[in-house]
Amino acid sequence: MKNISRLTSETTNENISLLNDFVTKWNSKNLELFSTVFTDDAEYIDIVGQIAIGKNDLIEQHRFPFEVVNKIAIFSLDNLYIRSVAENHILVTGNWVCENSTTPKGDILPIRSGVIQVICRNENNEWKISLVHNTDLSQVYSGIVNTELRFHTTQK
Amino acid sequence: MKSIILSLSFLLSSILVMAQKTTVTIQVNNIQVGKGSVVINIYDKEASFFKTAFVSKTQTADNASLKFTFEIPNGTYAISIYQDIDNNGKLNQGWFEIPLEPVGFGNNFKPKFSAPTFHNCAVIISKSNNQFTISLN
Repeated sequence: MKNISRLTSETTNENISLLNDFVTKWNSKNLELFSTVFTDDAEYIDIVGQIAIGKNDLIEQHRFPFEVVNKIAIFSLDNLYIRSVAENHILVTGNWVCENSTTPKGDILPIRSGVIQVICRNENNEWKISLVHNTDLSQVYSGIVNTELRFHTTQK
Repeated sequence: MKSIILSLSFLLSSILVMAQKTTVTIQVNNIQVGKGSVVINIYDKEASFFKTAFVSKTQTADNASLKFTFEIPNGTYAISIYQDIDNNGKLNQGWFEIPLEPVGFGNNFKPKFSAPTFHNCAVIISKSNNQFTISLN
């Protein structure tokens, strides 16, 4: 992955490796496997603003996309900007491209792209993703989601 | 002979109890006034959930709160409500199938990351349990 980093090459490579793992496991569409790149308390805000808190939520959040609209999709990530935000916390901003997303009925959508921001946390000498904020800039679908339902995810 | 008559009368009375209709009132709150209509769908079977309603009613959204009345046999039913803001006759949904119009469900169930199931929205309707209040979200 092409990158600009303000970190040492060692830390940069460790985080690029984590992001490569994220992409590989996203493309596997295996929910359990995908969840292994995240910390137990990870938060994931998806492209429609749904907030998942913790691995179980995160798995449920990705079930519909992985099983329906992104079932045959191929996700890639590039142009990373990597910097520290706090001790043992790294912010990675990247551009993603996704091919072969479909409508719920299976019609192929045009290529989608967006910007993703990922906070990686080092625990016990291992980097894992603790926060994701994703956006989709392609506008291949329309409509504003029901915001009450969107925020329901935070009512624990 | 006596036992056969007794069994038949028991069976008949059971059928009559099952067929008893109850007047059900569903109050729908949090309606966006003046925007389209409010549609209630009641489903009696899991297999037909979100496909074919056992009974449906629609009212114009001219009040923040509306009451719907149904006469239906006692039993277990799933309730699904939406406000059809653009009056196109269907619930508009986004790419992730997240509703783009206000929705409400039996038990005031709020879906999370996926559509609700029949059981999530199911209520038992009987003579003693026939008043429900559901808020749209």
